[in-house]
Amino acid sequence: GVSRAGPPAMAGSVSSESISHQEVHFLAEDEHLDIVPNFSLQGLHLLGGTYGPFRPQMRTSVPLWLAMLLKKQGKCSVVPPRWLDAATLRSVIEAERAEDVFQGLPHHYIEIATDLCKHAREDLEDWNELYDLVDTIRSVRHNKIQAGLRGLDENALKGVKLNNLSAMEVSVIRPFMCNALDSFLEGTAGAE
Amino acid sequence: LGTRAFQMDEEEDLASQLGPRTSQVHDTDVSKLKRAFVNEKCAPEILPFEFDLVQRVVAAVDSRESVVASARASASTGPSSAADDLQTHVFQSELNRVRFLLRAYYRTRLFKIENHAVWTLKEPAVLARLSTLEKEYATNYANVVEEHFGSVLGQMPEGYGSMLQQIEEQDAAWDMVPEPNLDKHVFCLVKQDRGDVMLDPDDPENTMDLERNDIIMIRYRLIKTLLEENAVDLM
Repeated sequence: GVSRAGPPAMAGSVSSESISHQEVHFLAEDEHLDIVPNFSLQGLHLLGGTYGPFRPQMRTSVPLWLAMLLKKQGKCSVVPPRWLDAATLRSVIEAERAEDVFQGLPHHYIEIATDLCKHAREDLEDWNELYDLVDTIRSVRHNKIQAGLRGLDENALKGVKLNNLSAMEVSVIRPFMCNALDSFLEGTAGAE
Repeated sequence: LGTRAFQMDEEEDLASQLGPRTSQVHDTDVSKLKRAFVNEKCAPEILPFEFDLVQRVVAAVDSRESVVASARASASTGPSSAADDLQTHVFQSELNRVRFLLRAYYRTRLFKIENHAVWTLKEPAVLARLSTLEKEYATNYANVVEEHFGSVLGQMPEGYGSMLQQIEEQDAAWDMVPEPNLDKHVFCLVKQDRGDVMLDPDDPENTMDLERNDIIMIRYRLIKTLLEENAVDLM
């Protein structure tokens, strides 16, 4: 899984023709979640927004990159998002298996779950189980995407709706899907 | 009927448990720069340079860099509180993120300029999308490459020495100029409800219902106007 935090190395991003997994993860790090600080600090006026003030035991919302920075310094505990809970994730798996449509998971669910399972394990009830459940969701959805791709015909050239696909899932299927349809388009143009 | 009502409640409960698609704030300059970068990275052609936005972000970054620099200076010469150190550390981390975005935005554009330098220079509508520095870069790059190829192409048979023309003929149009492929497929996120939209003028009967948060995989050419209107973002 993708687990890199912080700005991606430049070498990987310049020459690639599309956005990389590391860059997608970087974008995910602006997602907000709650932390419980164990320190005091006045409000932080950052370029991207104002956060805090920080008071011990007073829950407050920060972007993921800041939560991970504070966590690594031992300055907070992370409040797991509502969806990152075993019962909810199991319901998602059931719904994904039962329906053709994709569940409305948070757009960066994979990146958030990866970072928390890596850096905030003690703040999760059973990080191993949660990680497995998220991975199962990812896998079930991936199979659904693949099945959908196999069913595409020339109508796909008019556009394909893939609602509720998450950022990382788009990143994973982009090369195959776009190349396949680009080639298909070229092929049909040749046939005319 | 009873079972279905229960099922629907469950679905609604699940939706509310999952929460919103994203919790990011969308109206700050940093988030606008982020979107500009992603759109630029995903679009096959170069997009209009975000002059005002970049100017504001660069100013904010420069100002913040001075603050961090003087905080570091005073921390090294005298006592600093743990709170000040933490603030400086957080400021620095955010600066790294924003500088990455700026560099990535510039470099993605330069990559496209390099790939299509000649075409960019000869299409006024495209040239207009470049910043002044980028126009200079495109011109210099095209000249350097032409010089470089000239040494090889000069040895080609008569009439085949052009980098830009299949067969050199007087007054013939350049037919080998690399240009972006606007039929490349892209993913896009719909930001506004637009109802039934005709996307392909070659197929006007075929409309697509566009609702906010729809994700569509489609030829860039068909959503180019929607992107210009800020009705979609690429992803």
